[in-house]
Amino acid sequence: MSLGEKAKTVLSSIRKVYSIKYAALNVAVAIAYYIILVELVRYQNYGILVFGVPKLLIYALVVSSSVMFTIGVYYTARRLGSISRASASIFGTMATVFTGVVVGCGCSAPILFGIGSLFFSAVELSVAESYISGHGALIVSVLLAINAVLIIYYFGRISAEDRV
Amino acid sequence: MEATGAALGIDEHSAADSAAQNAYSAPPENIKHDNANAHSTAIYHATAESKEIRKMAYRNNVLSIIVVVLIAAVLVQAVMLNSLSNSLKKSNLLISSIEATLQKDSSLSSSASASNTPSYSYNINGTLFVPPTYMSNYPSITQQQPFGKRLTNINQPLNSSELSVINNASDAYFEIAGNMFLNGSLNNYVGAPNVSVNPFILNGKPSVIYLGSITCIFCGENRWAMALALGRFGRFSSLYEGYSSFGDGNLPTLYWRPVSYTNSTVNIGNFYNSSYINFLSIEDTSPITGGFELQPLSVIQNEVNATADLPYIDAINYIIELNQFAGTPYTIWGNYQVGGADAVDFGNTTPSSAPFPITNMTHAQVLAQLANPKDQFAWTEYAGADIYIALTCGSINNTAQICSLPAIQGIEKKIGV
Repeated sequence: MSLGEKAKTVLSSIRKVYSIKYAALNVAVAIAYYIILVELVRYQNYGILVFGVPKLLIYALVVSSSVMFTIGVYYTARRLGSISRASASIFGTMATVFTGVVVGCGCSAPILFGIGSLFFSAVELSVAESYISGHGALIVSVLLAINAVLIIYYFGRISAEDRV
Repeated sequence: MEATGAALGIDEHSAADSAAQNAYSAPPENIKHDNANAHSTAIYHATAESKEIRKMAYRNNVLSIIVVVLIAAVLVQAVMLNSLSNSLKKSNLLISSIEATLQKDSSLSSSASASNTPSYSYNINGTLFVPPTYMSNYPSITQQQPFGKRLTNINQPLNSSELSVINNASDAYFEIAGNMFLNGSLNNYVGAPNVSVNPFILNGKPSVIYLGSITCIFCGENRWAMALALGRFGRFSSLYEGYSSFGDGNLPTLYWRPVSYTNSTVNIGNFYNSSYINFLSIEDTSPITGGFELQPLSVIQNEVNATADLPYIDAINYIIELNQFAGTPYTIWGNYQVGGADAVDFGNTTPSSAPFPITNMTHAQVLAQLANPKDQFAWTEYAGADIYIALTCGSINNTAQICSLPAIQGIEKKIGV
């Protein structure tokens, strides 16, 4: 399938999925994800919202993760007999939570050091903190790229299954 | 396939569903030998589709389990840390009360009481590193720059009247702020959870050890309170104007010495002198125009070792041995270790996100407020300093004059010192 055809397929799937009901769900999930992310950042920064990466990346990640969730719900609603369908939502949720931890990892990093201290020394954890604080934007960008690829993949699958 | 399904008089959903039900029941060999049977072909493709979906399902279930386990781990950890923190506080209180009782009975010497505290112990002699007063590669910037992206006067020493605000702050301010902290009339958060440690004894005196980063917003806020607290036990002969990084609030702050504000390294030392305590400051630096950055502890240790200054080499060793570092600022005040900042004080009321009021203040404006405190911002800085003072007083048997303030004694009781 050429790139143009694939794009058309994905677009038709998007139109199919995004009825008013699912669009509303998407917005609600995006808001919920944003709140989760913000609270994770605040928890790590004494209640202060300090993003270590450009806000645009945060918004893009929240939107893409909410699209993944919507796809998951759409799958579930259409195919009740299958055990799979909540699939897409899982990575989206993981990406959001992980981004909350990464973005909030600044001067202090209580989640990283709190959980990590069960397995690693402070010296080892400081390496992780150092990497995350220096490469937060890169990490979020990678998560965003994975989200984007998965969204295209799942919309493609919706289209393929419809042909069946 | 839609056409095939329609021709057979079944809708696409029922075709897929029946295909799913017949998964693994239609071997490809049968279909190869029955090319005319369109129904079987449709079922075969749907079956292949279904197999793939099932594989995806298993993969996603594994991911689901990982997510659930991670979330459960976070919750368990949060509960564990909370209970650990509470039990530590309780044990601190218990040890304090036992020590107080024993001291009343005059039956335990101070050296013996130290055996209750953790095993890492330093009692050394040495000369503290004296930093340069000027670094030609990192000059002061005299150009006026906009708030939020401001480095005006960075690395410039405070003049004598500005230094006097820190060195000669009135005890009355500490008393008022301490009472405000005790009676809960401060708007901003103040608090520095502490854990008992063995004091780092250098030249016969306990030490205050600071590990921070010039890029860090909370270090930026914290240094004002630290300077005020340290000024009660000794004097700074120099302090420098500084900022947190552009990406981390760009707060006006104090630097203990001129810093390498354009590259990643470690700057140790300061210009502080006290008859009660030592002050050892280790400052991690990164480009101030970026965001928060911190080098790993092992790198910081290597850079401190390169200075060949024994007290600082031992100090960073001590921090690593304690294994309690969890971000910056990290401070040790005599017998007490504090992980994190003393307060969240970025203005009279601290908004939940940037821009913060203090970002739009000059150093002169901050110092003017500290010289004549009238509002929440200044009182909170003094209250934060009070907590550090209480920790230090608890480590030097309340021998300094500031320790006799009722508010300081009240805070000592409140925080279990």
